[in-house]
Formats: sequence, C-alpha cells, structure tokens
Amino acid sequence: MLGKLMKHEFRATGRIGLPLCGIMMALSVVAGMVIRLWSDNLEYGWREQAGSIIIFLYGLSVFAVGIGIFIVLMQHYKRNLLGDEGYLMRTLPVNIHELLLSKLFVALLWYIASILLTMLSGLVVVFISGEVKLSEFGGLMDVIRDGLASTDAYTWLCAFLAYIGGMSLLTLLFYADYAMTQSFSKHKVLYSVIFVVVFIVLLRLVFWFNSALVASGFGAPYFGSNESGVYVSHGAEVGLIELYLSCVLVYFITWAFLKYKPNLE
Amino acid sequence: MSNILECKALTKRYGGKEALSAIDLSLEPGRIVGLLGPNGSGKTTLIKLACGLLTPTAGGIYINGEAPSKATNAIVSYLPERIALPLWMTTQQAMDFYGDFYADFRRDAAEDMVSRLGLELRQTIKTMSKGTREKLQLILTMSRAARLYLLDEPIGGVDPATRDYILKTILTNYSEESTVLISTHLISDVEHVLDEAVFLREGSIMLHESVDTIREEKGKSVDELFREVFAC
Repeated sequence: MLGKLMKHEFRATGRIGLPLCGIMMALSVVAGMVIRLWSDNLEYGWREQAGSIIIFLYGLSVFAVGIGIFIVLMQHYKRNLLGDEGYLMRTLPVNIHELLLSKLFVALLWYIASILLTMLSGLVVVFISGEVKLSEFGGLMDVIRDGLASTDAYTWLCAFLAYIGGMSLLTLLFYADYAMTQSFSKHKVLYSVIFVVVFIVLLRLVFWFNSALVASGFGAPYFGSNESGVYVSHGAEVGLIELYLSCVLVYFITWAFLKYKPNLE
Repeated sequence: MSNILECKALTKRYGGKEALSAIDLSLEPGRIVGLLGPNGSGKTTLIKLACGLLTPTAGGIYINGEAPSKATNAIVSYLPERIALPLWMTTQQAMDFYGDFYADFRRDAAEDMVSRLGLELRQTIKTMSKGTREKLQLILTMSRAARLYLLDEPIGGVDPATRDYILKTILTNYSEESTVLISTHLISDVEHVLDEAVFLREGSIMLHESVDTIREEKGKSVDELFREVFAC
C-alpha cells in the first residue's frame, strides 16, 4: 500500500510541482539566450530591458522551485490528512505509519529532484549563453571530477545523510506542528508556540544525552578513537546521530497525535 | 449470526460535553438500518467512531468483532457528510483511487453508474455542482462490495430528485449479506427502504426496533413515531 500511497502523493503534488520545474527549465533556456544576445550587442534598449525581466523571472522560478515545492507539500499534508480529504484518507485500509511515510518519502524525493533540476537549469544557462562552449564541456567535467575527488566518499556520504536528515527533520517538524495544533479546537497559535519550545528543550536533551554517550566512549568501538578524543574527532557522526534521533522523536510525536487525537470532530 | 457492528457501553465526550452516553447497540448482517435523531443527537459521532476517525472515551465499538483498524476499514464503506474527494481529481482518477486501495471495488458497477449519470470521465470534481459531487461520492461508496456501509446524511441538502437517485443507488447496490447504516433526520424520505430504526437522543438510544414492529405494534409510521418521540 505504501507504493500506491506514494503514487497518489506524486500525482497530487506533481500538479503544481512539475509545472514549477517546467517553468524554471523553460526560463533557463530563454535566460541563456538573452545573455548570449547581450554579449553580441551591448546597447541598452527595450530588448535588453525585457531580457533583464526574463533573467529576474528565472531567478524567481529558482526560488519558487525551492520554496514553492516545500509550501505545496506542507499544504497538501494539511489538507490531505487534517482537512476534509482526511475523511477519505484516514478511512483507507492503511495505517498512520504508511500515510506519514508515503508523504515523507515523496517530500524527500521532491527536495532531491528540485536540487538536481536547479543545478541542471544553471548548466543550461551557462551553455546556451556561450559562457562555456560544448568543446569545453570535457574540461568543465574534469573540474567537477577533481572537486569531487578532493573529498573522500565518506564525507560525501555524511553530507548526503545530513541533507536528508535535515530536510526530514524540517518536514516532520511542520507535520508535527500541524497535527498537534489541529488536535486542539482553541488557542491553536498558543499551542503551536508551546510545541516549538518543548521541542527545542527535547532536542537539547537528546543532544546532551548523545554527547555524554559518545564522550563516555560508547561510540569508540564503532567509530574508532584517537588521542584527541572521540567527541572531537567524530563530530559528524555525533551530529548525524542527533539529527536522526530528533527525526524519530518528531515522527512519533506526529504519529501519536494523528492516531490518538485525530480531531476530525 | 455474528454482529457486523457492536457497541458496548460506548461513550464519547468532547471536553465536558457527552456526545454518546454508554450506548449498547448490535447490528446483524443483511439489514438496512436508519440511525435517526435530531441534529446533535450523536449520529455522526457514532459513525466516526465506527470508522476510527474518533477514539471512544470509554466502552468499545467493534466491526465484525474487531476494533476499528486498517483491517476493518477494508470491509467498511464510509460516506462522509462532506465531500472528501480531492477536488483536483477527475471522475476517472477518483475511480482509479478507489480501485487501487479497495480490493472490493467494483469498477464496472462504478463506470455503469457514472455513465448513466452522464458524468464526464475527464471532468474534475472541482467543476461539478454540489449535487453531482455528492452523487459521485455515493457511487464510489456503493460500488464497493463492503460488509458494512456507513452513510452519514446521504440525502441531506440535496433536491428531492437527487434524494430519489441516492436511495435507488443504495437499494440496487448493496448485497443481501451487507448491512447499511443510514444516518439522517429526513425520516419520511428513507422510511420505505429501512428494515430497522434506531432513535438517538442526546447521545442515548431511545429505541431500536424493526420498522415492521413499529408499524404493527404502535400502528404508526416511523416518521409519525419520530415526531411523537422528539416533539419539542
């Protein structure tokens, strides 16, 4: 059922997400052409003014893909599980975990896709504008390859996990906040603020516990240790553990509110 | 015969207000039951509890012997009192959605009713009138071969012609082994399709009787008895 839920989640969010990405890609082509025309003719007339607007719109579309998709995903979550659509979704033969995970996985795929597409649109601008010629493409790839090679695979893995964990935590925080405030019929803003404060305190506790655990040498057999100390030499791992523990904590807060305080009253 | 729906001392409170007060109710398979009562009597609360959209404050509610869960959702077909279908969906997509999640969804029956209603498969729900949206939602609900149908105010707020269509759709699509629970306060419109009537008042069951018994023993129609019991 998780696959089916994800399919319908893509269908629902793709209605807005895909056109946003399409507009950004189309504008990147036009922006590249505008820059190429500018390099041929330096006079400033109405065509150049129109070109400036197009480049501005391209910048705006990059922003819209980054922020817009996040807003679309959050609005969809709220409407789909906590609004009228909740009467349909929450009476499906699926459990709350499947509903939540399908939304989280689709959100993460959207975040990754939007980053890749934004990078691609940047390359499109660079190539079409003539700033980098196709004959120089091999050279550009060498530069990228060298850049990647200068950092070891483990660091890239940590960076990737940090990105996924960070975006998951941000998404789950919104999920939890919506679920919690929805379960109260009054003073929703007040409860929302209380929730954020409680969450920050809980995060600090997790961090403290985590740091104490690693500093005590608990992680040493797994991460290895040296004379400079486990905590300092394994900051990335400690941070990742903290991040993912926070994700788990916020996930279960959301799950508990959706399951036991399903305020569709 | 095991009960398809059973409530044991079922209580639901919203804050300090009691919506259902320790009700006991058993429904057997193969019956069309009217859940009748004025606004605020607890009809919708009872149906939401049966769907797992609310959790009981005390007591229990059981579908085919189980508390509401993923498993009971597979045998219950629920029609909410509001439009729950995503408005961006087309008729076709809504049918795909039901087909994907419900093993008992009868696609051919849904397509037949949609075509008789003259609905366009590519029309979005957003562009449909309120009555058409309600009809589509009912078609999807009744196109399932479910064990228990929970219909919350299926005829509230629609014109008399649509009411007839809805009742006809219910009668022609439920199987003999299924139970249909219809919540409404429009008694005269549904009376002729009911096997049993449950009167709810301020969260308590006032009466649970077969419609034939009401007519024979009390010499009144359900509508007349309702007016008498709930007279202001």
